[in-house]
Formats: sequence, structure tokens, C-alpha cells
Amino acid sequence: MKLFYVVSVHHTFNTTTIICVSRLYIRVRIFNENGTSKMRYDLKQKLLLAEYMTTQSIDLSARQQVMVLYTANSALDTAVIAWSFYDGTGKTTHMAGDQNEPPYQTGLDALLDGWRLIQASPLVSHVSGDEFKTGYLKYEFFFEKMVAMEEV
Amino acid sequence: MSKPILLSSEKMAQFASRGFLMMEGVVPKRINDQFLKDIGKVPESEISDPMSYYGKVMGSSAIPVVSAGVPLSDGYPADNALAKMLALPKVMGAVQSLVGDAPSFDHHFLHMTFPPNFYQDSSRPQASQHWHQDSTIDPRQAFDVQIMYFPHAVTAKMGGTRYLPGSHLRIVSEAAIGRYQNIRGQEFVTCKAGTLLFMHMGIWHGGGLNLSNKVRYMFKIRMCPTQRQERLWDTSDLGSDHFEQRPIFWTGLKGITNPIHETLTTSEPWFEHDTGRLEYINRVLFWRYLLGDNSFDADYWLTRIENEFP
Repeated sequence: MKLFYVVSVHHTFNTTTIICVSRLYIRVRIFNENGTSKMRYDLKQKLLLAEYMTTQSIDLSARQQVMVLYTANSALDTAVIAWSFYDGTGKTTHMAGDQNEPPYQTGLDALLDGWRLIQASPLVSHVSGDEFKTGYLKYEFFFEKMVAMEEV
Repeated sequence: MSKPILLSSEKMAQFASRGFLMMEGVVPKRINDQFLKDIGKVPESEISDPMSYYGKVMGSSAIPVVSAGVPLSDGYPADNALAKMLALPKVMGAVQSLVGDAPSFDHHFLHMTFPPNFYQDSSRPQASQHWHQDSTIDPRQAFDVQIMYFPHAVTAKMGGTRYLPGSHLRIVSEAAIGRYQNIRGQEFVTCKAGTLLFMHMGIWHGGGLNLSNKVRYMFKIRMCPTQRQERLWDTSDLGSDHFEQRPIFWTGLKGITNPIHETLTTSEPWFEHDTGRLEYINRVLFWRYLLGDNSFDADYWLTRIENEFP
């Protein structure tokens, strides 16, 4: 018996698509709105992705901690000028104005401490006439840590 | 009526640069006491949650109800604490320097932050207010002023207003900045009773977390200019060298100081490397607007990029 791990579920207006991985396969299953199976695709190759996902032993009960760091320029190794935490474990609460010192001096320090970078703001060309306008903080980096609930 | 004490050029440049001016303890005790009495006391036994407390105070306080757009001078009866506060020479002078001698009233509001016991029976957890910029996207060069009036002393535990110096020229959409929690250089009001904070309408700010055992009050009045905000302050102290440039970058260690140029080109801890320079440019543009003279520059930030040939 193959052991599959569900890695994502997508809902559209009349179908549900479930993507699962095992050590050797990526399986895509599509269900009708009444829950009956519509299609099944098995990608019968030893895919690195499947290998990776299974060796990482995905714990579906894990919760995400999100940290957002804003740096002084687009390089991850520059100083953190602003930061936020959102804790999906529910064990800590963070809010505006709760800290005066950043958790890391640079974004690189966060990587060194095991945070995974999941999004970085793009560099956008300046629209003519808007070159000197300032607004939102420009260099935003989203990091995550997945925390097994038993660790909490 | 006493004569208004106008702001100096240096104070005005500080406002242009950082977006606020603080007047510590400028309102005397008798006015603070009168204002606190006007708010009224709501018995603790009648408190169930913050919203019901707001409702009770709004229904029972003696704070006047004033329509938007009336002249500020007509907003409050002469014997009202707020009229007395606005008539203080330093307050009148700051208002006149910033928005002229005939500003219109926009709105006012009594902001309250509540201690933990107000949240015991509330479904809403106690939290600080998100960062925001008041009103909505406002790209004007003309500016409104908000006076934050702290009628009683504010300790660190009481969660005084949090604000970000120098953020006033950033154009954002109200609470769209709520994602940010902490920003280097953020400040929190802790002050004596009777302190006023004059703020440019664009300043990023938010209410703090009140961990004391008392309700914290802050009364905010927003006012709008009815005239071009040009040289409304006491300009008699503007030096003759005001338009002269000084050496920049390679300054021979001695440094050549010019208080206004210095103020307009002093960075804040949260400045990004590149947009920090844009902040200087925007401050210079703002100072040009206030002077009514587009030939002003500080440290060549604008002259350099205006050096264009047809």
C-alpha cells in the first residue's frame, strides 16, 4: 500500500482537486461537486519533489509562524527597520508597538536562525511623475517557521 | 485677549521635517480640571465593555457637538475648557503659524484607551491600535493640523499614543499600514498633564495598550487652513544665509551648521537608504511651499536634479 500525503487542496465552483505525494508518485485527484471521483493522474516518476516532501515528513498538524522584516534596502543583509510577528500556534500574541528592538539585526540573521524566506517584495521601476513619492515600506520579506504542535 | 506667540523658523522647520511639535504641560491645571470634569464620571458599576463606556460618555459629557466647516473660533463657547485651551498664547500662536488665523473646524473626538478590566466580559481581546494615517489618501501640499490634548499625566503603562516621527510626507491609505507592528524610531507619548501634540495630518500613529488601572483620555481636534500656508510663522529669525548652500559630504570634519538645513536633512532611524533621500527632497519641497519660494534648497538635493537644459 502506498502512503500518500495530501499537500494541497484546491476548490473551484464545481470541482475539488487534491494533490498528494508519496515517495515515488505525485497523484492528482479531481472530484465532482457531489464528491465522486472524476479523474486521477499518477505521475509515475521518481520526482525529486516527492522525495523531498516525504523526507521532510509533513506534519499536517503543524502551525505556521510568520515574521515580516522590513530592511533598509533590497539586500537581506541590511539592517531591519521594521518588523511584525503573527503566531499561528496561538501561543504568543504580538501587536503594534509591543517591541522597540527588532528580533534580528538583518534578514540574513533570520535565515541563519532557521527562518524560511517565503516572499520578498519586487523591485519596481518608478513611474514617470511619481519618482519622489514615498508611501509604504519598500523592502518587505516574509519568513515562516512551521512548528509541530507538540513542540509548542 | 493675549497676543499669540508665533513659532520660530527653527520650530517650523522641525514640524516640516518630523511632522509634529510637542508642547509639554502647556495647558494649566485649571483648564485640565475643567475639561476632565466636562468629560464626566461614569460609575464603574455601569461599565461592561469599551463600546458601552464610549456610548455613555458621548451621551452625558459636556463636550460640545460641533459641525464640520465652522470657523474654529466659533466652535466652542468662550467659557468652555477647549476654548480656553485654544486661547493660550502659545497654542494660538502655533495654530496661527501652521494653519493661519482663521482655520475651520473639521472634527474632534475624545479617544479613550481602556485598562484590562474593561475586557474581562468583552469578546474583543485588549490590543493596541494598528498603525494608521488619519482620514484617507491625501496627496495635498496644504495640510491640516491635529491637536492631541492630554488632559492628565500619561505614564508608560497607560499606552500613550504611538507615533512615527517623519512619516507625515508618506502617502498611504489609512490602515493599509496596519501590517507593520514595530518600526525603528517609533515613539510613545508619556507626558505631564496638559501636554499638546500638534501633528501634521499625515503622521502615522495608533493608540497604545493601556496596562494601568485607569482609563486614558486624549482629545483630538482637527483643523483646516482657509488660506495658503505661506510664511505664517515668525520669520524674523530667518538668517540672511538661509538660501546659501553649505559644503556637503566632504566637510573637513568641522561641519558648517545651518540649523534649518540641518533639520531638513536629519534622518530618522526607520529611513530606508534610498527613500530616506526622497524624504529630504520632500521636506525641501515642503519648506519651499511654506516659504513660497522655489529657489530654496538644502544640501543641493533638488538643485542637482533640476539642472536640466531644454
